[in-house]
Order: sequence, then C-alpha cells, then structure tokens
Amino acid sequence: MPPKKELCRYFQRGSCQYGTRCKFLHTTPQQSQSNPFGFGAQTSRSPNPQPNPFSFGAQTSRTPNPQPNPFGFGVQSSAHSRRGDGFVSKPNQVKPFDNKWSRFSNVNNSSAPASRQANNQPSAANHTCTATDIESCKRVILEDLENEKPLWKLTCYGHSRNGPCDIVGDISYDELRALAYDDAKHGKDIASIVERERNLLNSKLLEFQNLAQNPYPVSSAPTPSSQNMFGGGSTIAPVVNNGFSSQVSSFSQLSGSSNTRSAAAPNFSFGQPNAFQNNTQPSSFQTNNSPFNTPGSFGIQPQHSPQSFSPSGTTSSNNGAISAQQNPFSTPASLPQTGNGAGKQLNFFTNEPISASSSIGLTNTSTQLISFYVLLMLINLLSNNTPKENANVDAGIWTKVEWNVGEIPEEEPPAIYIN
Amino acid sequence: MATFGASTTNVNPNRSAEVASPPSDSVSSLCFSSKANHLIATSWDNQVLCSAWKDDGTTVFSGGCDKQVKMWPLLSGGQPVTVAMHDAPIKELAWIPEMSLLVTGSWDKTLRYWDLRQPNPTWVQQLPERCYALTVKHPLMVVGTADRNLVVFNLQNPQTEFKRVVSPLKYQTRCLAAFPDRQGFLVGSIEGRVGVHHLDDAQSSKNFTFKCHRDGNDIYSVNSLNFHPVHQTFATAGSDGAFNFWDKDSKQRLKAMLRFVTTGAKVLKITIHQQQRPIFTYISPRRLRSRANHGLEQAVGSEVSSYSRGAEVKGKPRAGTSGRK
Repeated sequence: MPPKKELCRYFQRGSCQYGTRCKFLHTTPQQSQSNPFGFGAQTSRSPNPQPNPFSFGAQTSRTPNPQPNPFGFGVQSSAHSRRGDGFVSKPNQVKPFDNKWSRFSNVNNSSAPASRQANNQPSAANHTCTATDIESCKRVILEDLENEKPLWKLTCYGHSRNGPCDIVGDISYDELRALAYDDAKHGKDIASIVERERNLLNSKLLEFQNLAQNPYPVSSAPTPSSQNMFGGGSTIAPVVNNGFSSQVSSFSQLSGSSNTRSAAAPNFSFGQPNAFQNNTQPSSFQTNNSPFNTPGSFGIQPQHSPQSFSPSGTTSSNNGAISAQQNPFSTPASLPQTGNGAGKQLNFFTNEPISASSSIGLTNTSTQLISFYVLLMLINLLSNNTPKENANVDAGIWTKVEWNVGEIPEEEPPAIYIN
Repeated sequence: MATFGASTTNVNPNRSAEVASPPSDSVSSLCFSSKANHLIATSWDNQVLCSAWKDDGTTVFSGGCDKQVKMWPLLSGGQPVTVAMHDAPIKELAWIPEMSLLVTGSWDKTLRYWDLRQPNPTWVQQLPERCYALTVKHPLMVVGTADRNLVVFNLQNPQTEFKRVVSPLKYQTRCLAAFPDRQGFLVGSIEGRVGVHHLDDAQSSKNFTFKCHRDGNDIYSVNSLNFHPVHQTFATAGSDGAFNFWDKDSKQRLKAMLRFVTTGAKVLKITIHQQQRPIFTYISPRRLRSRANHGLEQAVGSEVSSYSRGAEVKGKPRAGTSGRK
C-alpha cells in the first residue's frame, strides 16, 4: 500500500511514467468521475437498452447470436453512401452486425423454411469499394453469387446495399411475359420465342459468370476495352431484329447498359471448357436425363433458330455469332437436349402430350402455355451444359482487328474465319 | 376482369373461400374497393397489368400492355373510356383521391399524372428506369424501377423527386408498400428478401432487411407486400406459394400460411380490404387457372376467416427488451 492516499492523476489518464514505483495510488477511481471515453464503457448494465448516438453498440447490444435466424432479422442495412455518386449521403452509421435485437421470436419458426447458412452478408457500413476494401467486396460478390442466387435470373445485381449495380439489365417477369404474348400474337412460333428467351438467359448468366470469375466491383474502374469483348449485353440485338418494334424501347436499354458493367476482365474465360458450367442449382425443375429422346416438339429448333437470327449475323453480338455457328459446330443432338429439358418441363406441368404444343397454330391457350412454361424453362436451362456454348464463347474475338494481351484465344479459329 | 360472387368450395389448405368464376388466365392484379365489398381482379388474357378503384367506389381503372388506361364506369354500365396513354405497357397505376389525379407508371420510364377530364397528362415525370412497382400513401409515393432504383416523391411537391435511393436489396425490385404512417416503405425483391426502409435519416438505424420465402437453396421472389390497415403489420406473398404475416417493429413473423404445393402455384398478389374487418385476398395461379381467394367473414365462426382474425395479425410486443441486462 503506497503511503500517499492520493490517486495518481497520470494513471487516470492512462500514462504514469513511474509505473509500480509511483508513490500515488494506481487504482481506478471509485467515485464516478467524468470519463472522457464515457459513453459506451460503463453503460453495459444500464437499464436503458436504447442505443445512444455515440456508442457503436460495442458493449450494450452486440450479443453473440448463437443460432442463425432463418430470416436474418436484425441484420442492419445501414444506409450508407458511396463516394462519387449522386445518391443521398448520410453520416456515419452504425457498425455492421449491430444487432440491437438479441431475442428473436421463435414462435412461428417451426414452420419456417429451412434455415439457411448463417452467412448473412456483412452489411458493410461506409461501403466505398476503395482499393483497401476491394477484397471484402470481392468476397461479398463471390458469396452472393454462390449462395444467394434467386430463381429468376434476368436481374440486375449490386453487391453492396444502397450502392449501384454491378450488373445492370433488369428484365421483370411481366416484361418477358408480355413480350412472349406479343410475339405469339404476331405469329411467332413458340420455339423461336423460347430460343430468344434462352439467349437472354444465357447472356445474363454469362454476365454473372464473369462477375464470379472476376469479382471486380463496378465502382472501381471498369476498363472500356472489355466492352467489345463481351458483347454480352448486345445479345439483345438479334432480339430486336426479330421485329417486335413495340418492345424495343424496353430492351434496347438492355443492350446499351449491360455492356458497361461487366467485370473488367481482359482475360475472359476463353476457350475454357467450363465457361458455361453453371453452378448447378438444385432447382426443382432440374433434369438432364429426360425420358423423351425424340426431338418432339422442341426438336424443331435446329431449323428455326438460325433463321431467326440470320438478319443479325453480321453484328458482333455474342449470340448472333454463336447461333450462326451453331450449325457447323454443334451437333443437332445438343439442341434436342435442351429441347427435351423443356419438353419434360411441359409434361411436368400439364400432363398433356407433348404433341399438343407442337401444333404451332397459336391459340390463346398456347400463349398461356408459352408464358408459364417459358418462364420455367428458363430456370431449367441452368442445368444444361451444351457443348455448343463451350465452343465459341465469344466468337466476336475472331473479328477483332487487334488483340489485347490476355484475350488472345488459345484455340484455332473456326473454319469460317480462315480465309 | 372478374368480380366475386358467393364463395364456393374450399380446396386449398388454408381453407379460404374461392371466387366463383375466376379469369381464364393468371391474375395480374387485385384491388379492393374502399367503399363496398367489391374486388377487381385483372388478368393476363387481355394483358391487363394493374387496376385501381376510384375512391367513390363507382369507377375502376385498368392499365396494361395496350399502353392505355381505361376507366370503367360500373354503375352506369357504359363503355370504358381511355383516359391515359403511354409509350410502353403500363405497369402500375394508382388513384390519388387527395389530388384527384391518376398516376401511372410504365415501362417507358415515365410516371404520368392524369386529370381525367383532359387528354394530356398533367405532368410527366421522368424516371431513371422502367417502373416496376408503385405505392402511394398520400403524401408519400415511392416508385421502384429497374436496376434497383427507388424514387420517393412528396406528393405535395410532385414535380421534384424527394429522394432517390438505391435499393437496400441486391437484386431486382419486385414490389413496394408504404407504411401506413408514411414513415418509410417496404421493398421486396426477387431474391426472397424484404427491406424495411425509413425515409428519415435519423431513423435509418431502424432500417433492416430480412429473408423470407426461401426453401433450402431455392430463393423465391417476394411478389407482393401489403399492410394491414389497422395493425401495423404486413403480409408478404412469394413465388414459393406461401404468404406470411410479419411485424416489422418487433421483427417477428406472426403467421405463416400453408403453402400451395400444387404445381406452379405462386402467390402473386395480396390485397387487404380497407374496412373494419379486413379480408385478406390472395391469388395463386394453379397451372393456368387462377383464383382469387379470400376469407369471408360472412362465414364467421368457421376457420375460413382464420387469417383475418385480429389476434393473429396484430403485432406482438417486442420480445427483446425485457431480456436485456
């Protein structure tokens, strides 16, 4: 016990140079003194559960959450701002994972859907995607694309809440359906509608694949040189050429915008055999071995699809070139595979024989058939790994005049380009 | 369009009554009249996408892929009149009684306000993208567009955007609902998630998102959100064929309704009747047929109206506060 009863004032401040030799008392003050670090430190037992504006919830509210709540309640999506964009900027917000609610009701959880992984994406406060944060952004993107894949694929995506989109080019259910109905009214047969929608889906999946392989958040410098390469968004061009002029406005947007946002990846997956290997997602419609091996209703595609895209064969768009090359490279067998997937789809839902839908005289009921089944077929298409798509992932590369480093393809050009 | 008649057999697991003669194609929207027990259901057989009642309960508006809004005077039985035009299909419309204006949102990226007596819009508001969802609770109006934009308008000053927010959700916006107290709104997306967003920055700590309508690894979209007029609770309907009731203040799920296990069932829209004893209506297309299901409290005493009983959809007190030490 030191002789003097006074408290060491330097110890209070946290830095007494005498240390144990100090002749004053080195204890924390007993009486309540104004603590300069004040707010959060002593309030752990305060009866007031309300978060006060200065505490970042460190002691009071951060309780470890033992079981993952399937609904993810309490995960804060603090509204934050990204630098450099025109959105509303807010002052610094609460830290991530600041669960103020420690108790969740398990009242109705007995019938809750199966709890997902406890992998609630960190709601990154102050998300700016700067160079230092890029790793966490990439992680978020990869996690999202792995775990949180919605069943509807034709969507935009942004990895950070309240931040701009990494992949743009939304198509909603209703738009796709309206388009299909319109096409049917104009006399297009179901097969070509399906083909068009499949192309849309594939190009969108391609965009997501690119993002997964190169999770480069959009806010950091997308290189413009990559735009020509992908042409992923301009797959809409063949769609437009097919002549539903009334819908051009909604989809030309897609072709314009989806070029810009793809990940900056000069070393795009070229010649990789699994370029289109989708992360197979256990959808209830997934099937690869369909019992229907006859070309059936959808086997008519090999004749139809090249025709429908021939006007756009000259564009540098992805699918325009792909479909033009389908015949030389892909065996017809590959198409019935997808067709059969769709055929199985059809059967699954209507219990009608497939031949019913192959009668191409389109009545109202068949337009209705189109709408639902097309939408569902889009999902089904995920499970198809067709070789045709592996062969020429981006055939536009062959028409480029100059190649950048990293995009030089490894295989030889198709015969069509050898002149 | 179909108006409902007497209830008939109950075939779905929730024991809700079904409408006698539903439309032949799937239903795209539902709307209850504020004055009487009338329900409008629009369907895809003529590509009608949205509907709304006028506040006097005598007229209905419908808009769709023909890029027009038609006004149907129900009492006089007259012909529908075109009152609004867009350049692209009209996705959402709403009648604003306080302003006596009809507001329409379309895929041509505009929002237009219409005075019914004039052929030209009162005001054309440019949107950043195609309109996907709309919710109006005067003076709050929120428009959800493609590419995750959410634009908030103060209808007292409708010519300027009050605020533009990027959605707190990561995927396409599907539906919106404004809080009855106008403090904020809910946004639902295709990724099985709903975001609660407050307008006031001071309350932004109360913003959160939660997951719903998921089944294992399948992530379904949230198709419709709707608030209960009396209790501050809301319901969500999803493509997994289920709909749930939630309380955002206590962050709990109040009730989960049984899912439609039949093929292709997707709960598409919900509407909550505005009057005293709320009727909850939902549509779920089964194959190609669609039914508007609603619980009638005429069949009171039986379980038909189970989910319109106040106790079940009333908010529960917060479970967390008492346990904090």
